[in-house]
Amino acid sequence: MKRILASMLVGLTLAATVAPAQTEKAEARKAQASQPVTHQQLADLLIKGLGLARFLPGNPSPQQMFDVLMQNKIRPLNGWLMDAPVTKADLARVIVQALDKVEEVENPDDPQSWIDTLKELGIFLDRVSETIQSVEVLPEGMAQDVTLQSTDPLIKGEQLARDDVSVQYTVDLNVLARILPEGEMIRGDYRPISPTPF
Amino acid sequence: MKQIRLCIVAGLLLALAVPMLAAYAESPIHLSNRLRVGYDDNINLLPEDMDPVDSFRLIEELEFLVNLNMERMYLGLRYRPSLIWYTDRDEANADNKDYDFLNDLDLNFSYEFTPSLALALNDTLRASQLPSIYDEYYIVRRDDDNIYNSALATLSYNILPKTRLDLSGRHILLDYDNEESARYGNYYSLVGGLTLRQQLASRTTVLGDARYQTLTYSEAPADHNRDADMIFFGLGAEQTFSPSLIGSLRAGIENRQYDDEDYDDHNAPYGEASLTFLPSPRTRLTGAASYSIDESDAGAYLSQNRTYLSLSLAHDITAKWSFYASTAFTLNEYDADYALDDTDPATPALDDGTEKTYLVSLRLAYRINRINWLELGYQFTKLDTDLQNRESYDRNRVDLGWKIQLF
Repeated sequence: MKRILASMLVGLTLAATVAPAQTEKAEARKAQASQPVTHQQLADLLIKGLGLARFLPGNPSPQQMFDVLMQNKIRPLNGWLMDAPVTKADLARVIVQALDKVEEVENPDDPQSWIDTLKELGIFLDRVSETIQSVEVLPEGMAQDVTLQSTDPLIKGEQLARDDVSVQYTVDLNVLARILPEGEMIRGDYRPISPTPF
Repeated sequence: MKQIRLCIVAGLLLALAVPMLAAYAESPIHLSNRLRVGYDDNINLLPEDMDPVDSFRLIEELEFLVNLNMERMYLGLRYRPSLIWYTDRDEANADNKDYDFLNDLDLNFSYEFTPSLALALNDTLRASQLPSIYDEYYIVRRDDDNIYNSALATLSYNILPKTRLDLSGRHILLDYDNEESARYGNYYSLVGGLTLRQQLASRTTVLGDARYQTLTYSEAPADHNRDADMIFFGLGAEQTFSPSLIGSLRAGIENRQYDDEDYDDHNAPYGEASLTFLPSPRTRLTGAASYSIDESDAGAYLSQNRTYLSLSLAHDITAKWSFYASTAFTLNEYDADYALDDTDPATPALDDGTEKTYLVSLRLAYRINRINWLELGYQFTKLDTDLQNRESYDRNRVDLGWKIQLF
């Protein structure tokens, strides 16, 4: 009986401590959910939804994400700002751009026109997380290859000995990779050697 | 050839299986195919006075994408096998293979443990089948089959709402199949790094970073020791200047200590800058510049000082026509103080030297409909070198391609 009472006491104590913790967590979640979505959060959702993460380092900074989105002609009217809350006009504009439907906007200078274009496509702007589901991987996603220009050993890439066919910014930029890389492996045994029959 | 047949069979099976997977609603799986037919006026990268070999070529490239985006987790996977076939590569020697086969795999994974703690894993795998090429008088290259892999893990923690600390580790591996290539080319490198970012305002972030890197040529003989340890300290800033202009700047100092004690430590500054500008809704411009000590392209030197400049333009002429242009320039400077010593007195000591590379790349694309594109491309490349036993060359290539997004 004593054991049962002790167990109940422990249970009640745990419940007393865990319940407020759960309530705090739930409140924190509620508070977070009630906060407006920022440009930074929207950029993160777009980068992942459009399959552009491959152009970025792991856990990219907000500005690195903005940069890649801009290279794919996606930006709010007043540009990307880290803390700015996302308005319906911002959301409509970037979603239309992400869907490559800009040509269907009747009056690009009127924010309402971007919202109407989305409505005509059957996409509504009630929740960012739901609206973002409408975007798909960009078939011609592009970005400057940071591994070529970077000096950071965590980012920079190897100039591989291959006639690379990778397309970035949708043109080949890595074609200089094979600069006779095997020709100088041993001093005195350079290849190609002027003209030496083998 | 057997491997290619296997790959073709695997590709066909993939083509049959993936549509079934993709048939599920809101599929995260995508497959596209790019076929290019082109002409290359110097496939062996020979100087003009050595009678360069030209060839038509065919590039077949599949791209398989998985993009899985969940509430806390993201998985992005891209696999891209490419076959490059040359019509005229095998004229001189019966041993020559007339194709290269490349496999590219990119993996991006991230997981958000809490709103302030996230983990990212990135892997880049490049597996290349590069058979030997013999010209009439030259060994253009030996069998250069190789695997390159770069694995990066980054743990990010928001210390304060506007302060973020990134802890990163990277492992890089280059591994040649051929024994001779492996002896001087195989290496692995380990990198550890810390980055602290502080958001100052809605448009500005400043950062400071520290990196430690070791580089080990795992099979190199003692007289060809190019192993090194490097330490980097840097500062940087990222700035949104206007709605259509964004840029970043990073600079610091590197200390490079060579394993071979005959060489002094190499201290040098490094820096990089990039700008993206949208002058109109239809046009994007991106420029970049960087300077650093880098691993040497020429095997007889321990390192090089590399300056890199690039500029890219993308312009939508109409809704269907797009034009892209890129240029890049690289200046590699080699210092005789960091050239390998040669024990053979008959071989002259190496001097200072420079290599310049130039690239111009143009592409015109026409979107036929939502899933089909036609493209016309041109690339000019030029190497201008004054290093001993290296040859300058230039090369022109033209390609006509068709891309289809299958699903």
